[in-house]
Amino acid sequence: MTAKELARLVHDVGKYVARTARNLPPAPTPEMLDMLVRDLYELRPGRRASALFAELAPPDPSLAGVRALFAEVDGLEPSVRAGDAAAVARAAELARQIERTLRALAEGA
Amino acid sequence: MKPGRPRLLLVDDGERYAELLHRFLRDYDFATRCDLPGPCWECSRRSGCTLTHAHDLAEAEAALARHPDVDAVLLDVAFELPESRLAPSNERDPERRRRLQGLDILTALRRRRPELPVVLMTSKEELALEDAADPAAGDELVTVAGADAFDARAIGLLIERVLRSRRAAPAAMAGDFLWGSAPAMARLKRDAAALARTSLPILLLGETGTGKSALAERVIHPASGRTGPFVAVDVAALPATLVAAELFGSTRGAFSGAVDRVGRLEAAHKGTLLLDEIGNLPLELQRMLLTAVESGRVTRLGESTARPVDVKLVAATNADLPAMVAAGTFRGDLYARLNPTARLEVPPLRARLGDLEELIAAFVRNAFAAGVDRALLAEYAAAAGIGGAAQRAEVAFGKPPAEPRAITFVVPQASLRAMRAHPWPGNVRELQLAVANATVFALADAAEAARTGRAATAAAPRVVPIAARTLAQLLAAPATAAGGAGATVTLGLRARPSLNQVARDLERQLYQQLFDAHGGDFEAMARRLLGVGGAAARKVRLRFNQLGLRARKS
Repeated sequence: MTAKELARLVHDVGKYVARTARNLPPAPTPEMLDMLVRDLYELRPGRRASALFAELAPPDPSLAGVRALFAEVDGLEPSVRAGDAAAVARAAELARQIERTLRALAEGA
Repeated sequence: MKPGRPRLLLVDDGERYAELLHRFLRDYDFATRCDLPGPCWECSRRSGCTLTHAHDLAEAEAALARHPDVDAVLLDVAFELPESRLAPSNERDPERRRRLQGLDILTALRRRRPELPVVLMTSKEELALEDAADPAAGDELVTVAGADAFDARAIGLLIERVLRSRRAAPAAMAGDFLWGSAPAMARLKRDAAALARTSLPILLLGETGTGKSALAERVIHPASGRTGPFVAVDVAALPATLVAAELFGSTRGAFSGAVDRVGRLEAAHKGTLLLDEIGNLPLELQRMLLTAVESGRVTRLGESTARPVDVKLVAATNADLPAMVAAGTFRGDLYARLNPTARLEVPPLRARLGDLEELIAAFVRNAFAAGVDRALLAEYAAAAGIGGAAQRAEVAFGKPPAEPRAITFVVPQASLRAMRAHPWPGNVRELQLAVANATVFALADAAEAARTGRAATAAAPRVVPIAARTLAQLLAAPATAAGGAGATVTLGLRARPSLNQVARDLERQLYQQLFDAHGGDFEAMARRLLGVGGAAARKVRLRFNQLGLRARKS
């Protein structure tokens, strides 16, 4: 995997997926929840963040951890959309973790 | 900066970041493109609104024209825009243009608002991965947000820090004026910052090419906190018959060919007016200017009603105004009104040779950061097979760096010594031209060598040596019209009350130009005027003094 591919992932996926998650207060308002849902499941119109990641990510084993994190995020979608507090908190944590992981990979490249 | 809540302009192709900032940064106003009153978050009609920020360069420029009181810009770097909406760039690859669009927007914004702090929503690592220059390296008003770009609280703290440092040292933060580290420049920086914030006029003294105009535009005007425009008038460049209309404005029929025209004084209302070469202002207009300055009102030619004007007046000259007052060619009352006791003196380059390396490095970086020279750099990079490093140029003195990341021009130590010994009659402007010429010639040589398969150097192709002989030739060339053998001298002819005064005025200009061209060397001036040096230098010096000119100490 090239440094440029990683930079692209950090910018196009990592930063955007964690945008609201990084700013989420303990008791998020409905507007904040809506923003979180858009970051995670509608990053592009009608497309989950995980779909964009799958499109941009090369088949590299070092990204397996990020794929797993996205799988968990996707699994939480119904609960997050329903506003389940525990699911929202977990999804936000996963989003932040995705960004941190991608950034660490890029910095180490 | 204006009192009250700071105003931010966000430039981003998307909507969500604006939404986030508006939600969290509630201590700020935003430069929106919406006419509804009140902040965005208090307006229920703005849900889904796209007028909250600027999406491209054109919208950013429109927003800045609409909100000239913007205190800082938050600028994204990657923009997903159609090609027609991208800012002008030398980069041909549209995809790369989009990924680095923010840097092109930054370049364009800098041309209009050099004093504006900009926070870039990227990290240095991301820029390095794109082989893009770090824009913060040559611009102290650029802050790279890094990993904090999308953390609203961190961005809030970052903006607070940026604005606080601007408040603390407005002049130091303003624009791309090259201060260097000479003590005289440190004093100038301090005094300029102090005077800029007052209502007092400022008198700028200094030889030609020292940067008086740049100081006024890039430091004094931004630091003044005034919301109006910066307007510059080069009095010496205007025909005497037009100066009055140009400065004070006119109405149709005021004189033959007169049209309705707003004068520069009016145009600078609420802003700063630079009168460059004020010593060339005809005597009758000096009185009109004095009246305008004292009354704060200006009357257009052909009108009888005075209009109020509020300008910060900056007058610049390389002439000896006290001598002109003594000679009766400059009004003493106007001179006194220009606040001469607090005059700012911009030192000549020969008095700040310690700044040579810093100035050369800055000139090279700036020259190759944009425009035609950047295209030349890209051309060389393509010929040498270097790739993305063409985005940036650096300078090394003496030995080339072991692993240059940018294209690095190497100035030989011998050239540096020659430059330190050079009198620099044209000052910083002359240095800038010499550096521009030397680097372009060096680049052309290196490109030719690369194209013909001859290695430019034994080192990496990113190293471009500047030949010592090239610089020597450039330094030996006449720097001004009066400098070379058989050179012509350009003098400004102005009507005077008597032929004696006309002749004296021309002679003063001749002596001043020779003095500047020869770095104050009276023996060289004597050789130029009389064909001999030695004792003739005393005669020349005596005449120089009789003309009311002053030999400044280096």
